[in-house]
Formats: sequence, structure tokens, C-alpha cells
Amino acid sequence: MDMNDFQELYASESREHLDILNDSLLTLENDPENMEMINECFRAAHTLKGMAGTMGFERVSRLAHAMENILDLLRDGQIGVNTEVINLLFKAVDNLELLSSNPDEVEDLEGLISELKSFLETDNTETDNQKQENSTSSSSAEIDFDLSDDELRIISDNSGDPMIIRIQLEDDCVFKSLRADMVFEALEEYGELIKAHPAIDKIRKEELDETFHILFLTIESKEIIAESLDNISEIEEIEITMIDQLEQLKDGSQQEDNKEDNQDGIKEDIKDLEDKEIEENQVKKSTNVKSLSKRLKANNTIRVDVERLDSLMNLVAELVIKRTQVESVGESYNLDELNKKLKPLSKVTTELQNSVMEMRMVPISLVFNRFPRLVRDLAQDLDKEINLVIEGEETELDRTIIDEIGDPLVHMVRNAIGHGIEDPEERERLGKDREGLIKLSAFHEGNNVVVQIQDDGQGINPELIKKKAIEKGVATLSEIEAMSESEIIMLILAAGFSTNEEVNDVSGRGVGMDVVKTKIESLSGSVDIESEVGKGSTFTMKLPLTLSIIQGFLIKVADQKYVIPLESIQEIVDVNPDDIKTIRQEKVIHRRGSVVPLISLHDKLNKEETGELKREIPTVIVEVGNDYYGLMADSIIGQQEVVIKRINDLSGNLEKIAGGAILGDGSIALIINVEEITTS
Amino acid sequence: MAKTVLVVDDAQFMRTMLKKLIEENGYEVVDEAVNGQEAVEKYKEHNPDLVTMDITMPKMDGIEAIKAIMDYDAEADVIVCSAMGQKPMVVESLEVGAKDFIVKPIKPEKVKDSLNNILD
Repeated sequence: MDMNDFQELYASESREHLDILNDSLLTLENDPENMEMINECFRAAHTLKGMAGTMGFERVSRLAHAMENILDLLRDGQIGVNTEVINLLFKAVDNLELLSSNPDEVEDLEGLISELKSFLETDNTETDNQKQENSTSSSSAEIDFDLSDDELRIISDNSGDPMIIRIQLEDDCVFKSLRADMVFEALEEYGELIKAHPAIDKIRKEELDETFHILFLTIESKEIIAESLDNISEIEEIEITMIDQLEQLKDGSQQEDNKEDNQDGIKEDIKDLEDKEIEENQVKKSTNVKSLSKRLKANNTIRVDVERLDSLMNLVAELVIKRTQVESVGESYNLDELNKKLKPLSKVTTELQNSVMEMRMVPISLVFNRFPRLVRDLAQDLDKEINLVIEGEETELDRTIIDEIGDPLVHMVRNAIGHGIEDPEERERLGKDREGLIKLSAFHEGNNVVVQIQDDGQGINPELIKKKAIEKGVATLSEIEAMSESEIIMLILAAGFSTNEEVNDVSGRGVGMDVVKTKIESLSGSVDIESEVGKGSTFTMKLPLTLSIIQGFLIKVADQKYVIPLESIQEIVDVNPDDIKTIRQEKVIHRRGSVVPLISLHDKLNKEETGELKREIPTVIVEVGNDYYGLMADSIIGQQEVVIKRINDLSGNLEKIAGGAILGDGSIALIINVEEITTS
Repeated sequence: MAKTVLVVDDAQFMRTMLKKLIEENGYEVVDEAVNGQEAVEKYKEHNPDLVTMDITMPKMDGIEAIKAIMDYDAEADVIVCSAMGQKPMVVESLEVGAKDFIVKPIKPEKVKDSLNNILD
């Protein structure tokens, strides 16, 4: 088995578990009593350890193991949740992330591991005494048979050994209670049923999950008992564990007042057993608990590499282009039969295109998820108190957009915390809540998705912006005087503008808001700012729902950029004007033994010729059908990914242009329709 | 010789499906019956190793049929085929002597397990 094959799966799955760790730790910090979260973290760390171990990633495995040990203590209630332990766990998670992305940047892993270990040791001894006290009240995983004196007496009076039988039914079992009844009935022939968990009357009312436990007393062996249950249908798994602790009860030496302790003994034992089970079942675990990890791993989804989706999308895009070509044949030759047949085809291709687009839609929570952690860390660093509210995280956007908006959002949130929200003392003085509010929200608006970052901080002061804009030479005094207040605020998006005197490492980072603006515009979105001094600011980004991206080849004709779809390009040549011949009033060149007609894009696109004589004319050789044409441009820019925007052709006579494109730098180019430009 | 099964169901579809599943698992469907009365008659005729018994049927329902079969042969092995909402009937069938139950819509795996549990 070649482990490299699993590399990708490992990467994406470990990513998931790291996310779970991050999320759960955050929740845990706010809700220290949340057992579910501790279990969640434990499972994630445990699984990571196992996965990394299998892959031979020894460092990841060891670090995860160290985390797991601490989480185990948290789970048992042996140590409490506090900032110290959370910070330590976060540090471990960060390093796990680094290990999987940039292993070279990991510093002093050994130090961290020993830090984790030493934490374990010190706290363990300190709280060892509490363990005893806590053990009765802790843990949701514990099965508490809660035996009465009578039941204990039955165990001690009767001969036979107590055992716990764990029955796991198949998860699509319909009448679980009937299966449980069949189990009880079968068992009764071999011994005494002391108690069940959940209680028998609850089981009869179908109040049970796939798994239930039975405390059973029998003189028979484990094997015979297991065999007796073997013939009952729909049982997934049977596990029988002998209870040694109860052995003492049968000696009869126990006094009444000691029974309490023994009960605890049983419970603890059962609990240990459960832990062991959890441990063993970790990988295939599909517990009834509706857990984070389960939600992430819904069974009815499959993982597909984005690249595959992209290539599917490209194929579909090409299909659409080809369809259009066939359609135009039908139209120009008036082939009614063909036109009729093409209608359903065109419907199907459009639907196909839409479904591929939909497949690429992912919830914005993928981006929003990182903010709770980021905000927490920043707030801690800057001694600010911040309440982050996230809304609309289920809003879906194209994968490409999701990938791209992360950094701009981080930048803006950092700004909001660094510049917007005031210190708690300052806020108190102003009569605001000590805790600043940052609201991150996403929602649909027509064909767009709007992403907003709101804060209730100090707002943007237009006076400061004016002053700075003039200083930085972003705008002149006379220009500014003609501007409205909101226009002035928008100046912070201008290139070369940064309001903060010293670029601090929180919000500065060497990039300004202009980078954010450029990025969003390159995704054919827009940025808007509203701000009121003393009340706060709102940054609104409007983004398109979907994006079509193609590989385009950029050229320049006069002062305008054009895109030629890459798939039609044969080669790029520099044509010497002396080599141009004229055949039947058409300009041609000889290329590899054939004659290639030349087309002046200036003529075709109604652009003024500069008039200057060039020694070499950059020419793009395109293939249309089986013919070659040379498109003469002014200059070649090169290959680039461009985002296609459809142009609404209301007049119906848009010729030679297939659509618009938005370039990486946010500027606009037109896509040349190669077929039309070569035939018209 | 292959173990024999009597399939009882008033629906042709269910009989066909069960027959196919039973035969796929290496058992022989010795006959089919479309109601309880016929089931009892055919049981007496063939003495099969197993009966799959539908509950809701015309003339005589499955529960009555099980009772009659058990009266004739206390060792008879019967699997009840019930629908989702018929839990009380399943309980009753088990009380009168059915050995196992399967729930419709039936799943091949479950039928197989149930057959094997009783016949092997």
C-alpha cells in the first residue's frame, strides 16, 4: 500500500479535525462546563494522532498525543478548564497546523511537548484528591446503573458472575425495543437480569439508541451468553465484560455502610470500560450524539478535488461555446430541423452549466470560521474586549470567491479591532459597553452576496482623512472640497492611503485598504463604507454569486485590452511588415508553407491606428475551423486567468465580442469572439 | 438437500421478492400462499423448515395462521413480515410463537441474516 495515495485524504481530513479543535476550544473557553466540547476535542486529537501515526508523521502524532492526555484529564474532571490550559491547547493546535502546512516553521516542538507534559504532571498531582470527589458527578459517558440495595443484595446473594453486556443494534433497526426484548428473553434462560441501561421500561417505550447495556448475573461463561444472543437478528455487535469489582460483594464481608463506596466502584469501573470503548471505537465511532464532527462528515456527501470541479466547469464552458457555434450554423443556413433539435440541447447545456456552478458553491462559514479565534487572539493582544457576532454563515458563494475573500476580510476585521474599537476604559468613559461589538454577516441581495463587517467603535473621522489624503497626495485640496463626506471616507480605499501614523503589526501589515479594494474588484465585486464618528463603521462588500474563470490570452489594441480565448490560439509570431503580401486585396503571410490571412484588429474593432511604423507586428495566429488567421495587435500582454462577465446584449447587435472579462488587477477587458472577427 | 421455505403474502410482489432472496441464499421455496388459511393448509402439506408470514392478509391474518401452525407443529419456525406501523402485531406474533421478524420495506441483508439465524 502506497501511503502517498492517502496523502490528500489525510490533508483534508486532518484539516477538518484541526477546525473542530479550534471551534471546540473556543466554545469550551466560553462554556467551561461543556462536556460535549471536551469530548469533541478529545476525539479530534485522538483521531489526528491515529491518522498521523498511520501516515508516519511522528511529530504530529506525538503532539496530538500530548494534547489528548491533557484533554483526557479535562474530560475526567481532574483538571478544570481555565485560560492557561486553553492557551496551551491553542498553542498545540497552531503547531499542529504548522506541522501540516509549513513544517519548517515549527519552532521548538520538543519544548511544547514537554510543556504539555509538565502541565499534565503538576496538575495531576495537585488535583488528585479532587478526583475522588468529582468522580461521582462527572462525565456524560458514564453508565450509571444506579443499583438499589435490593439489587446489590441479589448480586451478592446469588451465585454467578456479574457481567455487563453491551448490545449494539444495527442503526437501521426499526423496532429496537422488540430486539431488546428478544435479547432479554434469550438471556433470562441463562441467568438473572439485574438491570438495563437505559432502564427496561424506557426501552419498552422505544426510548433507546442503538446501544444499550445490561447488567447480568450468570453462572455461564461469556461465550455461552454471546452464543445465545447470536441468533437474534439486527444485532451489530455484542460485547461482554466481566465485572471484577463486584466480586467483593459476594464475599458478604461488606457492611451496609460500605455499599456506597462499592456503588462508586461499580460506576467507576463501568466508566473505565466506557472510556475504553470510546478509545477502541474511535475510528468507526458513529455515536448517537449529534456532534460537530458528525455534522462535518455527513454521509451523503463526497469529497471532490476543486481542480476536478474546475476542469468539469471548463469542459462545460467549452460545450456551451460549441453549442453556440452549432446554433449559429443552424441560423445562418436556416436549418429548421436542426434548430428545433438544438433547443432541448441548449436547455440541457444551460442546466448542466448551472449545476456545475452550484457544485462549486460553498458556505461562507469556511471563511467566517477562522474569525472567532482571530478576534479572540487580537483582543487578548490589544487588551480590548470584543464580542464577535457572526450571522448568515450558511450563505453560499462560489468556491473561488470564498478562497479569495479570506485575506481582505481578515484585513478589515483587524482594522476594525485595531482602529475601530476603543479600549474598554475609553468605551466606558464614552458611555458605551466595555465590550466592543464586531458583527460579521453575509446575506443574499438579488444576484449578489453581501458581506458586511460592522463595528460600534469610534468611526472614521472625515477631517483626519482629508488631512491625510492631502499629505499623501491622494487628492488635492480643491478636489476634496468638492467631495461629500461619504466620498471623503471612501478615500481610504485609494492607493497609497493609510490612516494610521505608525503601521502597527495588527492592522498595518504593509497593505492598505486599496489592496482590499483591488482584490474585491478583481472578483467583480464592490466595496462600500459607511461610518459615523463615535458610532462605528460598516464595510460592505458586494460579491457575485458565481464566477466563470477561463484562461485567457491578453493583448492590447490601441489603449484597450482584449482577451483571446486560449484554446483557439495556435501561436504568437512577430510579423515583419516586409513579409506581408497582398493577394486579392487581402494581406497575408506565409507560414509553414501555407498562406495565412492577416486581420487588423484596429480595423475590426474600430480603433484608430497609431500611425507609427513598426518593425514587427505582434500577431496571434488563431485556428477557426480548419483555417488559420493572424490577428494583428499592438502588443501582447500574456496569459492570464480572467473572470468572464456576460454582457447583456439588449440591442442584439453586439458583434465580434463574446463578453467582458475582469482581470486580476480589477481592470476590464473585452473577450474577442474569434469566429465572428475572422468571418465578418 | 436445501432447507425449505413457505412464503406467505397476499401481494405477488412481496412473494416474488422474498422468493428471489430466499433462493439467492441457497434455500428452496417449496410453495407460496396468499392468505392465512392457505398457509396453514400448505404448511400441513409440505412441512417446510421455515415460514415467512405476512400479517395483514384476507380470510385469515398472519397471527391466526401462526397460532394454527403452532397448534399443528409446536416446533415450527416462523418469521413475521410486518410493516413499519405494526409493532403491536409483531409483539403478538412473537408471543404466539414467531421466532423473528423482518420489517417492510425489506432489506436483502436483513432477510438473509434472519434466514441464516434460524435455518443454519
